[in-house]
Amino acid sequence: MNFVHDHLLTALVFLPLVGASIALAFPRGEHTGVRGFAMAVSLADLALAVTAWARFEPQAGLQFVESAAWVPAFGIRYMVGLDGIALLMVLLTTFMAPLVVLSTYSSIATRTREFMVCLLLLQTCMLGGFVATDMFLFFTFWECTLIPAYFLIGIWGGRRRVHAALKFFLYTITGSLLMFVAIMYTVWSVADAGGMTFSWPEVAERLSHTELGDVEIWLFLAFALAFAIKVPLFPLHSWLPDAYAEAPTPATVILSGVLAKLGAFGFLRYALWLFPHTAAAFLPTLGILAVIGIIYGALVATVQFDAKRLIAYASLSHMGFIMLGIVAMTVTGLSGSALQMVNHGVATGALFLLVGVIYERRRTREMADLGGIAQVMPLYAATFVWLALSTMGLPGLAGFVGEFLILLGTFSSEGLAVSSTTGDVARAAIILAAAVVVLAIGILAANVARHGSKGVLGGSSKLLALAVATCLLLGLLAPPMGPLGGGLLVQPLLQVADSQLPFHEIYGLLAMVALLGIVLSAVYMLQAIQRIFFGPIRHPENEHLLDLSVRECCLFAPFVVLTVVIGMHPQPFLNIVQPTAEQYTRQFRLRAGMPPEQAHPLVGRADARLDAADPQVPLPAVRRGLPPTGNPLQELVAPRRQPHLRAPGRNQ
Amino acid sequence: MTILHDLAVLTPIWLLAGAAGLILLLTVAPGYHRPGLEGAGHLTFVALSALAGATWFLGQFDGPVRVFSGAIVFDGLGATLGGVATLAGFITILMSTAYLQEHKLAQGEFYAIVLLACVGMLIVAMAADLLVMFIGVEMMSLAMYVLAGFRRGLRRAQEAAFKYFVYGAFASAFIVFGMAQIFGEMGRLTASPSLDLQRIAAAFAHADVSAMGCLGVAFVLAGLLFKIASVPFHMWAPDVYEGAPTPATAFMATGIKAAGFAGLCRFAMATLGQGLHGIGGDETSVQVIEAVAIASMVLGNLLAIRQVQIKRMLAYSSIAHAGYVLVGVVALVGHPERGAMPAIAYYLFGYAAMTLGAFTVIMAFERRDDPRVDLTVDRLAGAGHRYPALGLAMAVFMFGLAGIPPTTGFFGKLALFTAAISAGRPELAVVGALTSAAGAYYYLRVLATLYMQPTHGDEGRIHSFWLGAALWVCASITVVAGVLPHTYMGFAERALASWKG
Repeated sequence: MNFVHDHLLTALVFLPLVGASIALAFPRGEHTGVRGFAMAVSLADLALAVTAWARFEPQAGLQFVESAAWVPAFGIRYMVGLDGIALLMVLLTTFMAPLVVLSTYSSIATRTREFMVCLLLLQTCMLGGFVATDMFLFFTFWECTLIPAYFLIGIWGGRRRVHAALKFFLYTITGSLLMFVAIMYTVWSVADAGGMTFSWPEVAERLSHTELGDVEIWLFLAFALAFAIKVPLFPLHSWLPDAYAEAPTPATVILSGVLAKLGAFGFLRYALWLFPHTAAAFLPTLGILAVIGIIYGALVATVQFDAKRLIAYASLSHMGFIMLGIVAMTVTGLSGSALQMVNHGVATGALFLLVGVIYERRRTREMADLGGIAQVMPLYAATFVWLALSTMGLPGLAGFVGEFLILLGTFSSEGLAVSSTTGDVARAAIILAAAVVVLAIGILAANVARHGSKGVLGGSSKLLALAVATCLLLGLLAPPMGPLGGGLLVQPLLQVADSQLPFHEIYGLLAMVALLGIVLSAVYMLQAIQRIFFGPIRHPENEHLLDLSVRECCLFAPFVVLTVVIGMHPQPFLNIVQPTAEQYTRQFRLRAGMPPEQAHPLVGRADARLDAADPQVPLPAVRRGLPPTGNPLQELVAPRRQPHLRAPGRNQ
Repeated sequence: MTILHDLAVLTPIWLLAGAAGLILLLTVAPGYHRPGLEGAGHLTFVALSALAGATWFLGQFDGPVRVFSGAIVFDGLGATLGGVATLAGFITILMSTAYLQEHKLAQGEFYAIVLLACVGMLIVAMAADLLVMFIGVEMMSLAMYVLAGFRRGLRRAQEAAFKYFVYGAFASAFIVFGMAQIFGEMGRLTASPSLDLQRIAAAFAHADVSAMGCLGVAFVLAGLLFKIASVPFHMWAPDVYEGAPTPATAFMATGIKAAGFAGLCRFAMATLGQGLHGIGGDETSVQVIEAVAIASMVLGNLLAIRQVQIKRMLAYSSIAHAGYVLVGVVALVGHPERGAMPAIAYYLFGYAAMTLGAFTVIMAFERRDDPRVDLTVDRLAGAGHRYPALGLAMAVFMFGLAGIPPTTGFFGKLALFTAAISAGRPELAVVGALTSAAGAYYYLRVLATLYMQPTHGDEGRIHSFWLGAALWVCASITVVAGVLPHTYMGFAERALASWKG
C-alpha cells in the first residue's frame, strides 16, 4: 500500500487502464463476470478518489504532486497534481463510473467485454486529463479520450451512430490539433537556456514575463477553440445533439457528465490561465457566446419531440452557465461553476439514464408515444421529476446552488476595457457575436412560427415559445430607454463598439439574460414532464410498463441523494473549491491587469487581502497557505435576505 | 590496410548482398522444389537474419567514418534512415512469406530482390558523392520495378510495373541531367570539378551559382521528390501501389521513402542549406520546398478521402506523409541545429512501422481464391469483430497514421512541427495540423467499416505465424516508441548530434 500512498494519483489514473487490460482476458461473449469486474475496478477507483479527498488540504495549492522525466529531449515530464477544482472533477468522474457500469446491466447486451474495456480506458484518459500538470501529458490524455469515445458511440450507438461518431471525432480533433500547434508554439517561445518545458505552472510563469505580441491572440484562440468545441460553446455545438442522441445511454452519460467538463476545466486552466491578458479582452465575448448557448439550447429544447435530444439541448444550455461562471472570473462565479459542473454531471447524467430506462422498456424516446405513465410507473416519475427540478434550479436542490453562485458571481464581475490590437479584435468579436445572436433568435422565431402554423406543436407550447421569441425580439429591437432598458443586446453592444460602455455592464446584462435561461429551463422541463407523465394513458402499450426495479433504484438513489446533499449542504464541496477559485481569480486578474475583484457588498470580502497578494507568487504550483476565506454559505444565504438584483455597475 | 577497414565499415551492405546471392543460389540448388517450396523456410531465415544483422550493425553506429576516398560515409543519417530502410525490409519479408505462399509466387526471387533493394537504399543513405547516390537510387529503383510487376499474370501488375518504370526512368534522367549541370557548374567555380557533396557545399556557399547550376539542383531535387512521391511528382503512386503485390507496396511506401529522404536531406543540405545565391538566396529555394510540402499535405489528404480502394487510399496517405516529412526538411535546411533531422528520422521510423502494419492487415484479407482483385474499404465490413487481433492492430495503425496519441504518429508530428516552429515557419505546422484533421476522416472510415458495419459474410483471411509476427513488431513499435519516444529519439539524437550535412 506504500506505493498507492506515495503515488496516489498515478494509482487513481492507471487503475482503470490495468482493469481494462485484464478485462480483455475475459472470454468472448461473457457478460456477468466482466460487468462485475468493471464494477469492482470502478469502485476501487472511487475509493482511491475518496482517499485523495480525505487527505486533501484545501489551502495548500497543488497536492499529491508526482514528477518524473519522460522525454528529456523535449523537456516533457510525467507530472500530476491535484488542486481543488481538479479534485472535484476527479470525484465526479469516479462517482459516475460505477453507476454507469451498473446501468449497462440492461442497456448493453452485445460485446459487453469490449464495452467495459472502452469505458475503463475512457475513465483513465479523463482522470489523466484532470490531474495532468504537464501540457504534453494533458494533451495526450485529452486526445486519447477520443479513441474509446469514438468506439463507444460508433459500435453501440443508435441508427446513425457511424455518422455521429465521425462528426464528434472530426470536430474535436480539428480544434485539438490547432491547440497542439499552439502548445508547441507557446512552449517553444518560452524555451530558455534551460531548454523546453511543458510543465503548466512553469510555462505560465515564463509567459508572465515574455512578450509574445499579437501572436498571443492566435495562441489564445487556438486553445479556446479546442476547449469550446468540447464544452461545447455556441456556435460549435452542432456535433452535440447527434453524438448525445446516437450514443448508447452509458456513453451519453459519460460524454455529457464528465467529458464536457474536461473542456470547461481545460478552458479555465489552460486557455484563460496561460494568456490572461488576451483572455481578459475576450471574456465578454465568451460570456456572450455562453449566454447565447443558454438561451439557444433552452429554446431548441422546448421544441424537441425526442426526450433524449431534449436533455441533450438542455445540457447545452446548462453548460452555458458553467462557462458564464468561468468567464466572470470572480471567486463566487468560479466556485459556482465548479460546483455546477458536478451538479450538471449528476443531474443531466441521471436524466439521460432515466430516458434510457424508458427506452429499454418501450424502444422509443418520442414523448408523443408516452404520456400518463406516472400512473403505472410512480417511482420512475418521482425520480425523473426530482432530478428535473434539480436542473431547473429549485432552491434546496443542487442545481440552485450552482446557478445562483454563477449568476451572483457574474453580476459582481467587472472586466477591463482594453485598448490595443487585442481590444479591437475582442470588440469585433463582440459585434460579430451580437449579429449571430440576432440571427439565431430570428431563425428560431421563424421556425417556431412555421411549426406552429403546421399544428405540430401543442397549443400551449406554441404560445409559450412564440411569447418567448417575441419578448426577445422586442428586447433586441425596441428603442433604448436608459443604459439598460430596451434594445437589450444590440444597443449596449453598439456602445461597446464605440468603447462607451464599460465591460462590467455587459456582465450585468449577461447575468440578466442568463436568468431568462433559467425561466426557459422550467418551461421545457415542465412541458416534457407533462407530456411524458401526466394526462391519460393514450397508448395501450404503456398500460403495463414495469416500474423501477431494485437494481434501477440502487442506480438512481445515489443521484437523488447527491442532489439533496449538495442542495442542502454544499459546504464540504465549496470548501474544496473555494481556495483554488480564489487563487485562480486573484492571479488571473493580477496578471491580466484587471482591477482586483471588488468587494461584494453582500459578502464581506476585504479588498485589503486582494491587495496583499504577492504578484511574484502567481501559481498554484507553489505550495502555500492562503488566508482563510469568508464563509461561502454566507454568499448563499445572505442574498435571499436582501434585494439582490441590484443594477450592475452601481458599485463602480 | 585501409581497404579492409573500408570494407568492414560497409558490413551491412555486404551482409545483404551476400544473403541475396546465397538465396538465389539456394533457389537453383538441387532439392529445392519450386512448387513444393520445401526450402522456403530456410530462405526466409537467411533473408531475415541478414536484415536483422544489417539493422543491428547500423544501430551500433558511433561517430562518422568516411571510406573509399570519401565517396561513402557511414554517419548518423546512414545509421538512422538506412536503419529504417533495413527494418522495412525485415518486416516486408516477415509479412510476405504468407502472401507469397497464398498467391503461389516465387519466394527466393522475391526475397533476393528485396535484399538488393535494401542494398540500394543503404547506398543512397550513405552516399557522400552524387554519383554514388545515383547508383544507389538506380539499384533500389530497378529492384522495385521488378517487385511492382511480380504478379506477372495480372494486367494491373503489368501496368503498375510499366508505369513505374517509365516514370522512374524519367526521374533518373532528371537526376543524371541535373548532375551533369552541377558538374559543369563545379568546373566553373573550382579548379578540380567533382560531384562530392562536401565540395559542392563548399563551392556553392562562397560563390554566385549560375542559372545553369540552379537548374541542375532543381533537376536533382525533382528526381528525388519523384522517389518519395510528393506532389507534383506523385502521379505514379496510386496506380503502382494498387498493382504491386501488397508486401512490395508496403516496402515501396516505407523503404524507398526512407532512402529517398536520406538522399534528399543530404542533397538539400549541401546545396540549399548553404544558400543558393543565383536564384535569389536560400529563402526562395526553401520556399519551393515549402510549397511542395504544403501541396503534398493538402492534396494527399484531400484525394485520399475520395478513395474506395484501400491501397489507393494508403497511396494518397503516403503522399500526405511525405508532405509532413518535407516540413521537417524545410526546417532542416533553414536551421539544421534545431533538431529537425532527428525529428525526420523518428517520423520515418514510426511511419514505416504504421504503414507496414496497415499493409500487413490489408494483405491478410487478400485471399487467392477471391474473384475480386481489389480490396475495397467495404470488404472489411465487420471484420474487426470476426478477427479481433487483426482489428485491434488495424486500429493501432490507423490511429497512429491519424496522429492520435499514444502512438509514434503523434509524437512524430510533435517533433516535426516543433522543428518547423523553431525554424520560424509556424504556418507549416498549422497547415499540417489542419490537414491531419482531414486525414483523420479517411483513417477513421476504415475503422468504422471494420467495427461499426454489419458483416457481409466471411471470406476468410491469410493466417501464418510470420504474418502475426510482422503485426506484433509493427504494433509494438507504434505503441512503445509512441509512449516512450526517447527509446528511438535518443538514438537518433545521439547519431545525428554531429551531423551537419
